[in-house]
Amino acid sequence: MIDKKFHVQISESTLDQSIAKKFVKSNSHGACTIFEGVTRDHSDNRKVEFLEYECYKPMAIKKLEQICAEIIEKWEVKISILHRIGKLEIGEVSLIVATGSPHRKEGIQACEYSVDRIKEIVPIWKKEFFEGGSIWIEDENGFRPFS
Amino acid sequence: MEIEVLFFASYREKSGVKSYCFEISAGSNLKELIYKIVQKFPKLHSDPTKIVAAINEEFSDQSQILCEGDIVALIPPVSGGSK
Repeated sequence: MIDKKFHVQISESTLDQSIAKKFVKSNSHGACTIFEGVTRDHSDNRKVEFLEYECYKPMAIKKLEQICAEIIEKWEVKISILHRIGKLEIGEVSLIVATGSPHRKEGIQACEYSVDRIKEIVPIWKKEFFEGGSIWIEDENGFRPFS
Repeated sequence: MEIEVLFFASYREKSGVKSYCFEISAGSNLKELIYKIVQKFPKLHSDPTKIVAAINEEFSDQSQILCEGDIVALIPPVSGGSK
């Protein structure tokens, strides 16, 4: 049986870190790196009340899988990416990336690469609700689908 | 032929629809479709050449020719950058 090296999930309910951690675990690994993206209570000078994430799910899944494929091509790791969508309160986790690797360096590099890449090519959008209004967080410079 | 177009996030709010079918002539490319979309929903973007779109879930250049049954999604800039 081929050992699957990556796992992705997009969910409307609370993300479970143990699923990601369990997936990347292996007796041959000496490192497990976990990144969590958490909803912050401020943005620029605004007091954020909550966030809403929207996605184009079939394409987002495909692009997350593409990122995982890029990663396992570059580093000897197992990787799990979980992304939350829908309404998130302050302090809730929006993204979990877990990598398992024989040594720490490749796991940390792969984790950082995936978080940057998610923001470049995965069609998931964030709307910030703050006192007195709401705004879609869009950054044309941060979006490089063809690179 | 008919092409289904999907709108997300800020584009969904600016157009007021989640999806809309456009009638285009055979052999049209994505650029021509986007021009039609912006005529119908002018608030979408001041510069249609800057709109990023996916055909059947893959990012596509505006020169790409459309085929019957293609699903086009307009992709607003994702939330990101260096933050």
